Formats: sequence, C-alpha cells, structure tokens
Amino acid sequence: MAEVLLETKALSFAYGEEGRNRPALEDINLKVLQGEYVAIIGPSGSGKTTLLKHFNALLTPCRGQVLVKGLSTAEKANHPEIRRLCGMIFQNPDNQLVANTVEEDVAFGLENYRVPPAEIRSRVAELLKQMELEDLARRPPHLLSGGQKQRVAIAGILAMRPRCLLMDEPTSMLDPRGRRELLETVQKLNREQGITVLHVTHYPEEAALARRVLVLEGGRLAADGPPREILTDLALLHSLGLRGTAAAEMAAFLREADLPLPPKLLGQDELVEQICSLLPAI
Amino acid sequence: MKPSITLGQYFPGSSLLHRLNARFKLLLLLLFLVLLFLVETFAGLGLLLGLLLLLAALTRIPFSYLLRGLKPIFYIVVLTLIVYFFFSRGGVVLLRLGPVTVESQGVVQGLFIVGRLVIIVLATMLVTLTTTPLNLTYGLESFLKPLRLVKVPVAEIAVIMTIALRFIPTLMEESQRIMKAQEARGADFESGSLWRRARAMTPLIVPLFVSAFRRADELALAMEARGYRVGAERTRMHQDPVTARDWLALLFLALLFAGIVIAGI
Amino acid sequence: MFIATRDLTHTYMPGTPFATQALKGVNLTIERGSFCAVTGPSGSGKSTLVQHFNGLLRPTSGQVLLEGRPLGEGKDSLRRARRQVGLVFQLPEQQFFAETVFDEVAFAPRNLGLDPAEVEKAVEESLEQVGLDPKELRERSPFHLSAGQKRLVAIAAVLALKPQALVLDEPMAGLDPAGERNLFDLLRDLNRRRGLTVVVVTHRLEEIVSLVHRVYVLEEGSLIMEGSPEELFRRREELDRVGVAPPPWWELLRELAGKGYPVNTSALTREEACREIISLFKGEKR
Repeated sequence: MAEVLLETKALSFAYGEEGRNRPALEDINLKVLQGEYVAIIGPSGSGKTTLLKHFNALLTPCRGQVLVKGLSTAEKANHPEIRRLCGMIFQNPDNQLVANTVEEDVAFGLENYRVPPAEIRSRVAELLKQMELEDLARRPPHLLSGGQKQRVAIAGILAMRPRCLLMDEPTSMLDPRGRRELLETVQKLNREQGITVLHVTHYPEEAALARRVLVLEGGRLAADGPPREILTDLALLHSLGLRGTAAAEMAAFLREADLPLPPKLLGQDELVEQICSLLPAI
Repeated sequence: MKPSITLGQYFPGSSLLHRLNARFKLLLLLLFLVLLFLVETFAGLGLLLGLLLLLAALTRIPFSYLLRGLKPIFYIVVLTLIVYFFFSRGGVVLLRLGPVTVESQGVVQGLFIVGRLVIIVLATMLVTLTTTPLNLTYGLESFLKPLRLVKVPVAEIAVIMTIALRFIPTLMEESQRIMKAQEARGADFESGSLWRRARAMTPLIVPLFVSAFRRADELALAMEARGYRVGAERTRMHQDPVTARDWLALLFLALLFAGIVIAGI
Repeated sequence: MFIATRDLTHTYMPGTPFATQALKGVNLTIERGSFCAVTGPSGSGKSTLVQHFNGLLRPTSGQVLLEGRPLGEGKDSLRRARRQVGLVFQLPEQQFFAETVFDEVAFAPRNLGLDPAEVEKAVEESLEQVGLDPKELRERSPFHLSAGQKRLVAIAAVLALKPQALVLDEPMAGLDPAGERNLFDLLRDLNRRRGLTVVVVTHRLEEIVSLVHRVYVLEEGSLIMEGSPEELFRRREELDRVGVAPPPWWELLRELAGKGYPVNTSALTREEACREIISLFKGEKR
C-alpha cells in the first residue's frame, strides 16, 4: 500500500476577510496516495483551483486541516518544504516564468532554496535535457511558444525534486501539439518517476488519463472514483453542465436508439470494439 | 509584433569586455568617467576614445550597431555645437555672418564637450552591450549593497529589475494587441486635438493596467509557490566570478589614470 | 465573394534583424454568409491573417479585397472595412475599460459618431443578439460578470458596429463547457438566422466543425489546405502533421469504415454519426 501524500480533514475555506464570504470549499475529506494521478473536474467556481492551492500552502484552511506528507499547511515553518514537495503549474504559461532566460528560470526555485551554484547548474542541465529544452537554454521566455513555456515551468518545478505536480488547467492555452506533448510528459513523469499528479481540467478526454477523478460542485466533493465510473456517469455530469468523454456521450445516444451497448464505455477503442461485436463480422 | 529594443541590449559574445565581472565593469566605468573629466586636452580625449574603440573592436559588435546607439544623442550634439559655435566668445574670429561670429575658443570648447559626451555614451553602451541583464542586475546590486545599512532593500530591488526586464517585451506586445482590439471597435488613437487624443487613451490604459495587475498577481503567486520569500537569502546559478583578468584591468586603468594625471594631459 | 486575399504577404518589422515573415502569399476567398474556420498550430499566422480582413494590419505585399474592392483604395475604405468586418480578439474581455456594460458596448457606435438615440438602440440590439438582457445588465460593471457573460458582452461590443462579418479569434478559449455550448449556439444563430458571415480562428477545430462550411489550414504562414470539413478530414495524415484533430465521432466512423462496414464517413455532428451507426444496425436487421 502506497503512502498517503496529500490529506485533507474537514477542510473548509472562504475567501475574503476572515472568510466571511460564501465558502469556496466545504468539508472536504480526501486522501491522495503517493504516485496517484488524480483529475479534478467541476463547473467554474466549484473550487477546483482553490483546492489545488491548498496543497502547496498558497491558501490555508479556515477550518479543518491539510497535510502534505504529514506536514500541516497551517504551520508556516512547514511551507518551504511543502512547496518543494508540491510544485504548481498555472493556467497562463506567461505569468509563471520569472527570469530572463530559460535556464535561469529553471534555476529560480533552486536559488530560493539556497542550493549551491554548482549543483544548481548540474540539476538545470539535467532537467533541460530531460524536457528537451537544451537548445532553448538561453532564450528569453517571450520568444517561446505556449507549449515550450509550460515545459520550462515543469522543468523549474522538477528541478526541486518534488513528489507532486499540481496542475491548474495547464493545457487550456496550448495548441493541439503543445497539449499532446505536455500530457505525454506528465504521464511519463507519473509512470516512470512515481510523481503524484493533481490535474484540474475541463476536458473529459484529459480527465480520462487519470486513475481517479474528483468532481467538485459548489465547494463540495460531489464524486470521487475511477474515470470509468465518473466520466461515463452522464446523469451526474450533465446536471453540473459537464460532459462525459466523447465515447461515453455517443454510447448513450446509441443506447437510446436501442443498441444494446454495455454500460460504462469510456474510450473510443472500446466503443468501436463493442459496436463491431454487435454487428456480424465482415 | 515583437518590438525591438536594441538600444543597449545585451549583444552576445566572448570578448575581453564580455568576460569581465559585471561589478568590476561598473567600477571600471566609474573610474573611466572620472578620468574623462580630469582630462583637459584633445590628446587625452583622443587617448581615451582610442582605448574605447580598441575595446569596441575586440567585442566584434558591428560598428553600425554602436552608431545606432549614438543616434539618440544626435540632437544634443547638434544643439551643443550650435550653442558653442555661435554664442561663445574668445580667441580668433573664424567666420563672420553679419552680426554673428564664430570664434575659435567656442569651437574648441564645443568640440571638446561633444567629444566627452560621445565618449560617455559609448563607454556606458559598451558595458551594457557586453553584460547580460542578469549580471548587470547583480553588478548593480552589489554596487548598491552599502545602502543596505540604511535599510534600502537592495536584493528586492534587484529582483524587481529582473522582472521588469523580463516583462517589458510582454507588456509592449500586450499594449499593441489592446490598441488593435480597440481600433477594431472604431477607436482612433491618432487624430484629433491633444485633449481628444489624451482622452482616447483611456480604452488603452485601463486594460493595460488591469492586465499588468493581473500578471503581477499571478506572478507573485507563482514565485511564492516556487519558494520565493521576500527578504530571504538566495543563491545564484551563475556566479560572476572575479578573476585575475578583472584585477589586471583595474590595475591597467589605475596606471593610465596616474599617467594622465602626472603627465597633465 | 465577400472577403478575399491575393498573394497576401505580411512581414513583421521589415528591414530589421528581427524581421519575421508571418504570411507568405496567401490566396483565399470567403463567401458572403458562410461560416469559415481558420486553423493551424500556434505561430502559423492565423491571427495575423484575420487582422488583415478589416485593415488593422496592412499587407507587406499583395492585397485584401472586400466586396471585390481592394482594401485601402479610396478615401473611406479603411473606415468602412472596420465597420463591415467586426473583429473579436482573443480573450476580448481583457480589453474592457468602461464602468458599465452600457458604456462598454456603446464604445464602438460612439466611435462611429452615432447620435445618442442611435447608440442606445445599437447597444440594446447587440446585447439582445448575444442573448443578454439589456435592462438587467446595462448599469452593471463589465468587470464583475461571470466568465461566460463577459465573453458575450465583449462580442456584443463588436456587434454594435453592425458588421456584416464577424471574425473571432479563439472565441471558446477559457470558457467552461456550459459557456462553450452557449457561444456555439450564438455563433450558429448569428450565421444561420441573421446571415452574418462568421470566421472563427481556432486550434480546436473539432469543437466547431459541425457549423463550418469551409476550413483554411495555415502552417508557417502558408495556406496549405482548404476545403469543406469532409474534404479536409479525408487528408488525415496531413492534418496530423499540423496537429489538427478531427472530431472523435468522425474517427469512429472512419474506424468502422476501415473494418469494412458500409458507413458514410462525412457525418459532421455527433447526432449524424450516431444515426449513421444506427442505420448500419437497421440495415443488418433487414
């Protein structure tokens, strides 16, 4: 059994002075294990980003607790370690790069943690290689494509040897190629390095890449389960203004026309396979 | 779409000047400028200019590039020359145009001052052209370090400068985009009275500010998320080490200084 | 022919070391009343192209024709172009500056020099066109609306020009699924019911493909493909190379066809695709 990396206990949070506004999160109880890939979906304003920001102590609970590898985010002294463990990738790739060149940006976090210069250089070189950014090392960020910017941001996080990647709609400003490359990178990190991933998205096809999907609604946890259960539950998703995967949506349409398709079809391949199995072979 | 800010922007290379430590370069520049004001003869000016041109040649920065950098002071040069040529008295009358005379002392003074001006700009430009923005920032930071004693947040100023350098191109692109978007809605930024034009700026300025604040907000969050804390010590990926080369350069300039002072040129 | 380009070339910062050729000899024709999509990877010149349609950018060489007349020829040509072709930029709500929704939407008609009564009417009509209630919203701050409403107000602010064509750069970006669907319906309505020519710049072609008559694919400043969605999606390999994805239902039909089932693979909507599959079963039952 893998170790628990992230945990919330009766987490509630509201913005505004002393949390007087309507709660943005209410009574969230959650455990994420080391190495999990979790997608978070929900209508806008449901608290997805707010929840994400609790895991690297950018926000701290009004009530309840958030623990990262056993460290409470309520303790200010824990923040540096929590932020090293859980790196965050933001939606707008433009506003998270600080330095004037790619390599200096990758080094930024390490510099904050007072890593010795020689080690910074070797780790930066390693990360640039891993993320295939070597040729861009000295380029200023404003001359990069959106996809490249997000890769630089990820490299900057990975340089700190984190255990968890928190991603807030990281693909929403990328073109299809940038999007595909980013998703492949993240999946590989999860698979090969066991990095835990929390991925906020509103694309069902992206959520389907996770091994677990959380659904938020009005600050509460509305559902928590594997993609096959959640992303095919069209009654739930539609009631929240969300979509299932394309295959799930199509399967539902076909079922209504009395095609005896089995329930919980998630992916395109499965749908094709099922349709073919119903048709006589050619 | 990508605006060009070539003036004084870092020009990559590996010449002697490129390889000097930024802090030393700033120190050398300061010393050089002091020296420039001690020099009182054209021979001295020529010597300093010659030294600069030699260094400039070593950097392999195209000469045209340097000339372009001098463009902004062109009008100042012309104005200075006019003032000195026509309004300064003394010496031999070189030219008489009705009531106006051009006299030798004015010409000499005018040329001397222009010479100084060109040398100042050229020397400063050579420093900024051969120093990466980051090293320049670090250099300035360590130059300002004494101010920490009077509670000036020198490290934070350095970070702010880095960020400013990073976002200048982004914000320039943004302002052009907003301008075009408002033009698409019929805005006219070019014609009309001054008052009208100033008022027409609101649809440009407001979105630009809103966006700058949003960026600042998001950037602050991203920096915090990556472990940045105001006032905390940081290390640096690229140190800008001080080598024997730097001390030799300083020694050379000091000797030149002494030589010029003793020789009185 | 409504909007056309002839050998349209655009170079940013020509004559400097930073010169970049963003468009290379683009020729295209957009018919009046059609719904078009311009797609291609980021940096392929999509935005640069559409900014020529209303004269915001001027060609480095080549021409833009509006109703057959070269744009920029004649005194009022550019002013007329701005009015005829409304351009909605990416994330248009980021250009808000006014204190009220009314003033925001009134910006364009006021710039056109309309009198207050006409401005009033233009604002009201364009808000209604995008499905917003003018009475409820007019005094509200545009900065304090929901993301979906902001987008609609921004579009209304361009519709207030009463353009004949509406060009939108990545109109769906940053909206949630409900907002996307809402906007999709609006664009269909503007094109099909109100007869506006609509041009959408997008890199998520699959989201909008069921509305589209014609697609233009750009790569590195050149128009590399154009045609109806059906025609384009047949050239799967080329599309793959530039990262344009066909919609999933289309892929599904293709796979079935690939296995030898007699399906018509040109279905543009999910419903059509499903009906195609169902007919396959009915055919088998018969």
